[in-house]
Amino acid sequence: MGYLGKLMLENGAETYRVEDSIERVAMAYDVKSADVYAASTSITITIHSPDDKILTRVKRIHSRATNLDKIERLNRLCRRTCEMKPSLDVVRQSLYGISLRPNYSFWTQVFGYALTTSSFTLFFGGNLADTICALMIGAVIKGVSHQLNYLKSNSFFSIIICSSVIPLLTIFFYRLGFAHHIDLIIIGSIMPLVPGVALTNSIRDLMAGDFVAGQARMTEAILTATCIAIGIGIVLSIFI
Amino acid sequence: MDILIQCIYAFFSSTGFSIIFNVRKEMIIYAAVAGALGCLSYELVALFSQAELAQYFMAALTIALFCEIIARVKKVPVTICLIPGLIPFVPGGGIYYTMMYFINGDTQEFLASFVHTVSIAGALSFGTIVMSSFVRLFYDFKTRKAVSGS
Repeated sequence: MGYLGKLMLENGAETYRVEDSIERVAMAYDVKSADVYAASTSITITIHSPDDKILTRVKRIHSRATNLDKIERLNRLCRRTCEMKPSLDVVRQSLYGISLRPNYSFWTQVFGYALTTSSFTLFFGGNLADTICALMIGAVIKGVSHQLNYLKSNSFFSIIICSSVIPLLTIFFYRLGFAHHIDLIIIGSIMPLVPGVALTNSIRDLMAGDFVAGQARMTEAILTATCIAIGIGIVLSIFI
Repeated sequence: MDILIQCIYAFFSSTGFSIIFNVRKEMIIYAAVAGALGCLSYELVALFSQAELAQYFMAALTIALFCEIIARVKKVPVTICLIPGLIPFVPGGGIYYTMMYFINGDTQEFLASFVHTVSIAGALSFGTIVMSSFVRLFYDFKTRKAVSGS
């Protein structure tokens, strides 16, 4: 059960969904009561078992990413578990299966980044040349962040690196006389790095009454935004 | 015409984000439509109102309503299309300008654009919260009525 919660949180589910899912699954297996407390870095579960024992388990969460496909599958697994109450081995097996599910292939993700950055540049009012620059920058960012992930670098550090690559390339294209609007290209290109999920989820958490989780996510969002600012700021203040 | 083109851009940016966030293939189209619908309502409100926060709020309401319906129909968590749909409205430009003012040492402008950015994020999440609460109320009401009616 702890594993279920851990997987959900690691892939970017909201706090209330994690707490609710774990509680429901526990109740499906005839425990007397289950209390779950989830923050963005740990989960604590206490179960009052049918034979009057009180069991507690803490799960620590180290990595956080957003993988909506896994959340969807975990959610479906939860529903099914609550309805059919399969044996614990079956549940464990399918959890393991979900945790191993592949992401989109590297090149599909490169395409995703390129599509995002270029369409954002258009969205904010860039012209065709700007869009082509943003397209290339998006592909490069994915390559860089993939490489940094592979080297297991600190996530904030890799954001600084990625966001300093963006203005470097933009200014390069501008000097070549290819790009026209530096600001539009940069704004479009930082969108994949911007902590949009953390920001909106944190305010959702705060309003739902999960103050600790909300504060933690807010800190994460502010820190990420600061990292982006540092990365871009250093390069821009050198070259402009 | 401009409005439609903006919506198409929003459609594609939501698609890109769905790929980045690993949304299942069949769900990507819904996420993209959510982004486009949000953009449509954003632009429509802009036609007769100057209040920027109201535009963001309405966009969030529309996206959340669409996503709640899809989630009920397709039996998936709301987040699946809510996050990619909402992304085009996240104030990336706001963050950029905030940082630029900060680097240039323009404290006045920095604070103004910081507050502006945070309030846009607030309007977005408030919109989604209001809509999801409404939908839940409506849903509870319907089931309760069905139970008492039978």
